[in-house]
Amino acid sequence: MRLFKRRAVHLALAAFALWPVVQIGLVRAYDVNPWKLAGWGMYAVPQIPARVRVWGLTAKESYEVGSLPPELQRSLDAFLERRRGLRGLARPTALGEQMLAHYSAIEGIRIVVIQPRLDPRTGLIEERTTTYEYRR
Amino acid sequence: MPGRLESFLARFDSDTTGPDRSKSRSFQIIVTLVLCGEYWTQSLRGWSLLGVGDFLALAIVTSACPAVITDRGRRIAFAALVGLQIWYIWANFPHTGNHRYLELFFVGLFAVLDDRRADERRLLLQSLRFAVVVVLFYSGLQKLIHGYWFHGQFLAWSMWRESFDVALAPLFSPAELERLSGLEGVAGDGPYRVAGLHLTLLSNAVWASEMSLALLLLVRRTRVLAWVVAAGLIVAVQIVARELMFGLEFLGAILLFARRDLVSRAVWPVVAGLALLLMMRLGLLPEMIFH
Repeated sequence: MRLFKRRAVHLALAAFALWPVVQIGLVRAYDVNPWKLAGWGMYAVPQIPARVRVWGLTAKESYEVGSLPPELQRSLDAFLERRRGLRGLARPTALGEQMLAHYSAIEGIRIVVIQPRLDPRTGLIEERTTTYEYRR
Repeated sequence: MPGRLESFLARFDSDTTGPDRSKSRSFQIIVTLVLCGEYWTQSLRGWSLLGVGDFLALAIVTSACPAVITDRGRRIAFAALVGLQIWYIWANFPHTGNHRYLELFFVGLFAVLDDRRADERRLLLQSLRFAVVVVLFYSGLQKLIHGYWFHGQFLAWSMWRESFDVALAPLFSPAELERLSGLEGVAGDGPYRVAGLHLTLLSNAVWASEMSLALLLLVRRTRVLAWVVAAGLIVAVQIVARELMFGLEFLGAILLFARRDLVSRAVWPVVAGLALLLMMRLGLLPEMIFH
């Protein structure tokens, strides 16, 4: 066997063994879904889908956006899909920009991601929110 | 460092090398068949939504089967499967199931290493067994560090899933089942914990056994016990989780630890299992939810 081939396989084995450590780091730092990214964390954590609430911001007030037009709803769904895997690494920037372009009368968009989580210590479901604001 | 790695990998050498080539080929056939079954059962679920890429994927995975089985263009077929898996992982990122990464690892090894050569066959089998140990160990470690298995929190939460309910409901008291079924999964709900000692022990046994089996597989003296128990664990887990494609592949990989060539004997049962799953998707058999 050529030395290059042997070294390449050894490198692949080392990467295979060490990558889960990196994935665990991503989970800790960015709340990435432990089930994903080849960390072998399937069934380690209950998976609860996040939901999103959106507010339009003007100079004087904010109002919650109810139903979205189809193209924005698709973008929202796509963001939630990415969020399901990448959690904190998935930001709704594209969605925010699309909404600013669509709603011309507003000055900003506030997107609040509500992530339910089962607290392992208490066994109770808690919610963590992350807020993103996009302004013109 | 290279010498140390090779010394470490020598732990994964076969106890007897006689059946190595047969084991290697049979496992390659199992992985290819499972990949084929996976793409077809997924495609049959949403046939009308398939695009050109999906049909190309089906063509690649289907044509890989005779190439691998007959050994005519086998490594070329695996090279094509490497490309296919990379495409699938990218197209579905970040939701790609972990078993897809494992499959990519397997087909990559099959493409690169020529198992007709004794030294490459040795490294191939070492690598496949090494992968089993890595996956088992981290699967247990992840459960340990996230803490949802110390008091059965994950099991209690999962009782809404039909497969978990069917398999585990007999272990819960009627009062606890009623309590859990009344929870709605909203903020403040709970506690999602199990009450019985037997369930707490079962829950902790899952992660503890995964990690300990991984370590016991490293030691020749405990290897037979370890692979037998690991095989039983995988079967038990898949009865609940129904990750059947992963289960078939991983069980095949665990059988690589056996002294005798049990992998070859597993090929036809795998074919039968995949046929059953395909028939379910085609509506010829009652549908069972599986992943």
